[in-house]
Amino acid sequence: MAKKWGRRAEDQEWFPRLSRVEVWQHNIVWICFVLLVATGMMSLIPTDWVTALFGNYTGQVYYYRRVAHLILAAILIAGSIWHLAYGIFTKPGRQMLIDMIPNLNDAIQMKQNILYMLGMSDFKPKFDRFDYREKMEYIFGLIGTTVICVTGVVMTFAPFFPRFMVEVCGTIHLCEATLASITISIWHFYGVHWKPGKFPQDTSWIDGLVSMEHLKHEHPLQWERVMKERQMAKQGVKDASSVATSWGGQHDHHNNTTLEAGEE
Amino acid sequence: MADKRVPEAVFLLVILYFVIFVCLTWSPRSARAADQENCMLCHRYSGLGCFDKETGAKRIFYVSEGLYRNSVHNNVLCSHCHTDVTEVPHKPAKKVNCATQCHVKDPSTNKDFSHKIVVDEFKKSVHGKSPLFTFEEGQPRCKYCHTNPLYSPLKGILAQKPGCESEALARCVACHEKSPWASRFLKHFVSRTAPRWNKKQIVDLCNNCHADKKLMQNFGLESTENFKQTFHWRNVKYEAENGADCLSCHGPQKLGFSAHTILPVDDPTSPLYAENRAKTCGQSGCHQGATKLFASGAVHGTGVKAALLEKKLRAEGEEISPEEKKKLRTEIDDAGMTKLQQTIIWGIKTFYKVMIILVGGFMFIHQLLDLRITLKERREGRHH
Repeated sequence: MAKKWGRRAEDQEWFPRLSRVEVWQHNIVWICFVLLVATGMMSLIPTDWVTALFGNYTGQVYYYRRVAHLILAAILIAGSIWHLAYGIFTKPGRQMLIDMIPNLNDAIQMKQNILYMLGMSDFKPKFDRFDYREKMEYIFGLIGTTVICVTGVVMTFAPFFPRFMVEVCGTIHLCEATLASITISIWHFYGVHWKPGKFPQDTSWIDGLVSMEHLKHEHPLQWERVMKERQMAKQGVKDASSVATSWGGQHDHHNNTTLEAGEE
Repeated sequence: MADKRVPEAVFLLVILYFVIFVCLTWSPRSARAADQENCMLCHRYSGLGCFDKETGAKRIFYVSEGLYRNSVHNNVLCSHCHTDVTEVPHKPAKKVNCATQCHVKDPSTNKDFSHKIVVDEFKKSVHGKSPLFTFEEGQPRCKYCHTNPLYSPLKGILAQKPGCESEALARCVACHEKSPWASRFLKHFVSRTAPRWNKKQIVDLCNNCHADKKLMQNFGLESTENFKQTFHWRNVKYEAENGADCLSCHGPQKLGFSAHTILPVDDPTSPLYAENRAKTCGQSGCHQGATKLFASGAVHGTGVKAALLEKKLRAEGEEISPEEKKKLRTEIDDAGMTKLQQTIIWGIKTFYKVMIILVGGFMFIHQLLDLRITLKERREGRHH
C-alpha cells in the first residue's frame, strides 16, 4: 500500500488528477518560484557576507543575480499567461477554473473539518475535486502572482514610473514575497510533502496521477462520481461525456492512461 | 591565653594601620614634585566626589597622579587652569575655560601659552557658535572630543599606557639624552605625528550626535545614520589609506580647514558650499579633477532627496524660509518621501505584517491539527 519514492505502487488503480499541461505549468511555477525567492531574498543579505563569500566576484554575483531574477520572472509571467489562456480557451482548463470557484459549501466544509480536527465533531466532510484548502491556495496564488508580477514590472522599468510608485511597489513586492514564501512552506509543503502518508512527496506532480486510496479518502465526492460514471458505461450509456465533464476535464487527456492504469 | 590575645590584636591593628597609611600616602616621587601646590593632598583619594545637586550626576574629583604626569598638561599647575581656586579647602570650582592663559611659556614666542587661538577659531565654527544652538546639549565643548588630555594618557583612554608609543620614543632617545625634559619634549612631538583619532573613531564620534535623527531635527539637519551604507565608509572600515571620514569633507586639512573650523554648508566659505564642493572632492588623494556635476552627488546616503528638492525650488526662483528648509530636511527621508508617503509605506508594511501573522498563524495551527488527526486516523487504520 505504501508508496515508494518516485514509483507508483502497482497494487492499486491510479487516477488522473493533473493533465500533462497542468503538470508542466506546475513545474514552471515551482522551479521559477524557488529560484526567484533565492535570487530575490539574496538582495536582503548584508553585502558584507556576500563579499566574504565571493570576494572579488561580488560585483558579478550581484549582476547575475539580477539578470537571473529578471529572466526567471519573464518565464513565470509567460507561464502564468499560458495558464490563463489554458483556463479560458480549453475545455479542461475551463472545467478546472469552474471547479476552483469557492462557494458557500466550502466555508461550511471548512468549519466542519476544523471541528472534526479539533475532535469536537465526528462528522468528516466529504470533499469534491478541490477541497477548501486547495481552493484557498489557488486563489491566494493567483492574487499573489498578479501582485508580484505587476509590482516587479514597475520596479524593472522604474525610470518610466513616478518615484513614489516604485517605492510602494518595492515594498509590496518584498512583503508579498515574504508572505508567499511563508504560506507555501507551511500550507503547501505540509499538504504534499510532510503530511503522514505523503512523505517524501505526493508523486502527482510528476505524472499527474493519484492513487485510488488518495481519491477515495481525500476527494470522496469525486470518487463516487467516477464510480457512477463507470457503472453507467458498463450499463451501456453511450453519452458518457456529460458525466465525464462533471468530474473534471482530465478525462479527455488521460482517458487512455486511466485505462492502462486500470488494466495493470 | 585570653590575656595574651589582646596585645596581639593591637599589634596587628597597628601593622594594618601602617600598611594602609603607606599605601594611601605613597606616590611616585616625580609626581609629587609636579604637584607644587599640594592639591594631591585631597585629590589623590579615589573616593573623592559628590553628586551634583541640580542634575544628580556623579562627579569625580579624583586625579590619578601617574596619568596626569603623563598627560599633555603634565607641566601645567592646577591653578593655571582652575584660576578661581585660591584657598584650601576651596569652594566648588568653576568650569575651566580652555582659552585661559597659563603660565607655561610658548617656546616659539616666549609668551604665556594659551589655547585661545583654537578656541576663537572654534567659536566661529558651526559647533562653536550658531544661532541654532538654543540649548546646550547640542553644543559640543572642547572635552567632548578631547577626551584624553586631562587625567588620561596621550594614547587614549582605552589603552591604559602612559605616553606615546614607547617604540617611537625609543628611536628619539637613541640619540637624544634621556632626561625628563627630553622625554616630555619628544613625547609632545611624537604624539602629534599621528592623528589623535583614527578615521573610524572620527566617524563614530560625529555619529554620536549626527546619526540621531531626533536630535538633528532640533537643528533642522539631516541625520547621517545611513553614512555606513556608503562607499566612503567602506574605505574607512577597511582602513584604506585615503578613505574619507567626516573631516575629509567637512574640515579638510589639505584645504586649510580642521575639526575646529567646520562651517555650516550654507556659509560661502565652507568647503561644502555648492560652489566649493568640486574643489573639496578634488583635493589631492581623492577625486582629482572632480567636476561640479560630480560633486553634486549623494554622499551621506540620506537627506539627498531633500537637498535636491531644495535645489530645484531654488532653481525655480522660490525663496525658501529657514522653517521651510528645516521641514524639507527633517520631514523628507532618505528616499525623498513626505510624511504622508512614509505613512502609506508604513501602512502597507503593517498590513502585510498582520497578514503574515494572521494567515501564517492560521495555516500553521490548521496544519498542526491536521497532523494530529491524520496520525490518529493512521493509528486507527482509517487512513491509507
